[in-house]
Amino acid sequence: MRLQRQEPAERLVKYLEAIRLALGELLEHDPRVFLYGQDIAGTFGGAFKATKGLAERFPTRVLNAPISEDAITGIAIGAAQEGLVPIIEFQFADFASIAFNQLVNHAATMHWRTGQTCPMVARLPVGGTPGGGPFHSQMVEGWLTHHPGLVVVAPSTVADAYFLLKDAATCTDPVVFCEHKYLYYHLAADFDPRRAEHLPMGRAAIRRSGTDCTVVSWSGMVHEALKAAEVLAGEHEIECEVIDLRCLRPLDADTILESVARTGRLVVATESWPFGGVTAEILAVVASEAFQHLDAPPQRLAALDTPIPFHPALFAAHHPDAARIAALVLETVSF
Amino acid sequence: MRTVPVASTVPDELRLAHLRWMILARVIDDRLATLYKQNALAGSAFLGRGQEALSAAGGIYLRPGDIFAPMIRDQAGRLAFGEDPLDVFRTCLGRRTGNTRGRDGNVHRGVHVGDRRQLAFISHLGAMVPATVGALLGKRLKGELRGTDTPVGMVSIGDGGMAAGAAHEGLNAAGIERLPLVVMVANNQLSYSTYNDRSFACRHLVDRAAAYGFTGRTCDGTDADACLATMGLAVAAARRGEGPQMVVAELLRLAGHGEHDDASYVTPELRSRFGDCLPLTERTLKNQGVIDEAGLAKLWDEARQISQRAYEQASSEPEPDPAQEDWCAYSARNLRSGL
Amino acid sequence: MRLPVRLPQFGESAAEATVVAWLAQPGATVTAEQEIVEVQTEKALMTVAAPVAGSLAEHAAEPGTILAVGDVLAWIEAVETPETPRTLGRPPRPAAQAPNKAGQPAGAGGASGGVPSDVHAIGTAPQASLSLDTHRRSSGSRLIRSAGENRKSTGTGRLAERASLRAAAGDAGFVSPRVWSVLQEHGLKVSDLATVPGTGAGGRITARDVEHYVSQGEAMSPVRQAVANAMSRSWSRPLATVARPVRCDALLTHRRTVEGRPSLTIYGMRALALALAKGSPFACRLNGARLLKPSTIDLAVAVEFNDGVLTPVVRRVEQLSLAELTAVVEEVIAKARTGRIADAGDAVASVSNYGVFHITWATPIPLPGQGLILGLGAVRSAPDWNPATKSWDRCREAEVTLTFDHRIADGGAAGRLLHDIVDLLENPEKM
Repeated sequence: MRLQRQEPAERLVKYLEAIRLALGELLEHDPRVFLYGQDIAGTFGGAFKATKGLAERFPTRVLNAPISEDAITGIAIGAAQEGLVPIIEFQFADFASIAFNQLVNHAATMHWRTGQTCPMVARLPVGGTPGGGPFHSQMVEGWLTHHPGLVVVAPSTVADAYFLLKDAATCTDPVVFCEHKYLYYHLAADFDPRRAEHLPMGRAAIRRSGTDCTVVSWSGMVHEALKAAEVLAGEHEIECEVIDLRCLRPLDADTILESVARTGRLVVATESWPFGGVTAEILAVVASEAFQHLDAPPQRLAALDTPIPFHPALFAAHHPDAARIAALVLETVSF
Repeated sequence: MRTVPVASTVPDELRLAHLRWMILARVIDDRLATLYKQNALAGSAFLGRGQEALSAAGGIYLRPGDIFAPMIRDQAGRLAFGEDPLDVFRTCLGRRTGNTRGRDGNVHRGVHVGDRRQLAFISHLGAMVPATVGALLGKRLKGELRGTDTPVGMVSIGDGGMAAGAAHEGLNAAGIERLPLVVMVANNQLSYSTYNDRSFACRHLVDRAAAYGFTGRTCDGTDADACLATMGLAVAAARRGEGPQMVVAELLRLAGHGEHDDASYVTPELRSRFGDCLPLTERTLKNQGVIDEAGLAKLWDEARQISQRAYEQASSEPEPDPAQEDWCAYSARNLRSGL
Repeated sequence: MRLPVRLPQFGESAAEATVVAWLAQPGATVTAEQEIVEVQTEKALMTVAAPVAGSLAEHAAEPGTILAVGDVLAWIEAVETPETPRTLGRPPRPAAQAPNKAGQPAGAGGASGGVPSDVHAIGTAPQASLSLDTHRRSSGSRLIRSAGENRKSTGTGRLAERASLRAAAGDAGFVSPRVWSVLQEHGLKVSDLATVPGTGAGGRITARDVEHYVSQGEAMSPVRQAVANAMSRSWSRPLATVARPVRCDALLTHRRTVEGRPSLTIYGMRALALALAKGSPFACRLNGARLLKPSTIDLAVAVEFNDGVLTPVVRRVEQLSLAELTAVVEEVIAKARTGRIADAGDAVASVSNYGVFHITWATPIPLPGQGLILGLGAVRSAPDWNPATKSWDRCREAEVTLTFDHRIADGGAAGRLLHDIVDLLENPEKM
């Protein structure tokens, strides 16, 4: 697909550029903010170029870290205790497992145990791309949402990549910011921060209204859900209500429950694995709190229960796509 | 690696102040041990018996604006850096009035008010090294590490904790950033029941200092004057901007890993190699005429009174009520209503 | 054989690259893996190598052009080799992807949050054949089946299995929680759904079916709704009816002598009250398993009002004369008709004069809380056998019915009560 190049004034903004814009504004307007991560400084500007140009503008506040995800996170926690707002970058979300302890046992518990807040942001490139393989493709919200005290967000749009990052940096709790790496350069929009809609962090967005089935998703999968909704509307006259969670923890259960009360049906789709995780949480909440509104068993669609494959054909079969979402919605509506 | 000679280079007032902290720490630890045996404590009790000389020598050189990340046997250091004995008992007795409000206990407490801050320890050994590094990095970004008399960050760790990946990463980062970090390593010969030969393979833990870009020093951890001299040099060097400092002190843990542990794995041979720093220090100071019997008795008396007062006050304070807890892990108001 | 050289995916998230410089010109012989062109991605300057040996036939893009991953850079006239070009499982992309041109919304739905336009700028990834667009080229049914074939352990195929099993079992009686909720909301029972057509799997009645069903017709007025609820509650008891004809000639003459000219309803009320007061077991209210005997005989009278029936209560009927009763009832009815019901409860029985509608016989339902209702049919001429003259006389006759709650007492008691009532009606001077 060719992304059209337009005149600078009307140029589309890519998802990654929105992140870089937010980081730049944060560095400029909030002296407490600094960036710490591997390869983010100098002219290199990060593995995905998220910080390109920022080190030149703010040389003392965009710092390269060694391959020490535990220390990177621990350092952020310590700096937050000194009143700074560290924004750390993991090169791939898959490496956040090394920082697991500092995230879930130190940052997440800090406020509850001690009354001291831990305002920090951990940026993670999540999600799969063809050929990425098991360690460069993971979605990690399944195990990070489990622990109380972390905020976990996952923007699916260019606007949210900007707004949620800015909100994360002003939140007094530690925020895990899941950026979908495929969307970095494959998603662009006509984005103007002054005009775009800014929903509060913690609130889910209804990306498409509908009456026949509620489809919940987040991150890259939202786009697959919307594609599925288009096909279902055009070919089957089924109107899906597509919800983009935006924030996984805390979970906006109210928006989901209100939608299911309208539609009576639920399909949750994720690129993550099925066991436990956010899809299971949503189904549990809906089954227990919206039982009387359900006209069909609630369903979820997740990746196959194996590590993420390397070969593009295996990779494509491994996770849900618009076709499979549409098929499951069709089944649910036909129940 | 430099070993400091035992002849005292430390002023007498400092030695007496240091002794005072050691005694108070011992009194409080003994009280906690008794409470544990009386089943009056929830959870376990972790004592610093035998390590007071080193720990107090660390804490005594810290001043407002510094950061201390104590570990589980640093009662003496915590007190020396200003922790209120009342908060010790509040936390160990799980009182709602403690700064963890019953949500965490015993050694997981920190000090968060004022400018003599102590980071609240988490159980995963090594994790506090990066946290202290981060606090110092934060100070640097705020412009507080300028000149040749800067704040320092001190982190306490043991021979066991030095094996943790987090410690490695934190020490490495401190060296890369050349921060004024002072790592106080208490090699008390045991990591729970594990002897040194199963904890590290280098000849001496201080060998690691160079590997991380630290200046390393060792001392006899049972010798108060040696601890004071060595820690003093390390802290002063860090303040002058000479980079991160490591002190490895040799001593013996004179308690179980926790009070639930009888330490039956400690051999008589090991026991015979190390003395108890407290009576050793008392004897040295008496012999040198720095303090007499009466003065010593007075210190112990005062310590017991302080400890008893704190214990009684804390005991009279309320415990947490599950029905009054808000049971929410978030601080941000707008996130609290969600799941 | 002419083969395309396509722009590879350089890096996980790369979407495009710019052609920088050609390293081989059209007509040149190239070996397999020879570097033929330099391209610049977001991250780095990379070179693309020929996939096969042959001669470079044609450049497809000049320096400065931006291409998307998978686009054709050049064409190579390949030397015939048994080896096929290596593309590692990526099928050629379908030609001319018309939807999803950047900046053009592909039909936004009516979204409350607004479907962001960036949704439509995302292109199809160079992924395997299960992409949506591939399916679009097949028939609609392929969409479902192939997805089902490929889905293994996500457990979603079982839904279809369950639905089809149900159909096979012929069980259209499955009521989902939502259907149940709708039934509750509208005061329906599952049995009310017997005639509702089910559009769900196996003929299941879906929530949509029920909602459609209940939305048809007009809503009942509150008065009608109240009567409906009362009738539902009343019907849940074991009711039985006994009946007798009553000769009305004496009564019809008698009424002309009484002030106010009492109607048959008044005579019925008076007769019922006096008969109950004689010690009938029906002179009480059933309270669970206990019988509550009131000190006075209070009766309710059914009054038609708008689209419903009101049942005001008249107190101490056994103590009122016919004239008094006439006056009181008139007042009570007038009040009821203006919406002011003074006493709405506590009566022990009711009277229903459906005879005014020319109904000769009916089994009205006792009101909730009451064990008895006296029904008065229309008066009409009937033959009456005169044993003295052994001939048929003409008389004026009406059927009276007594519908009673069989839990309180049985047919014998009902019959005796009815006998007493009829006796009083045929001998009105006793009232």
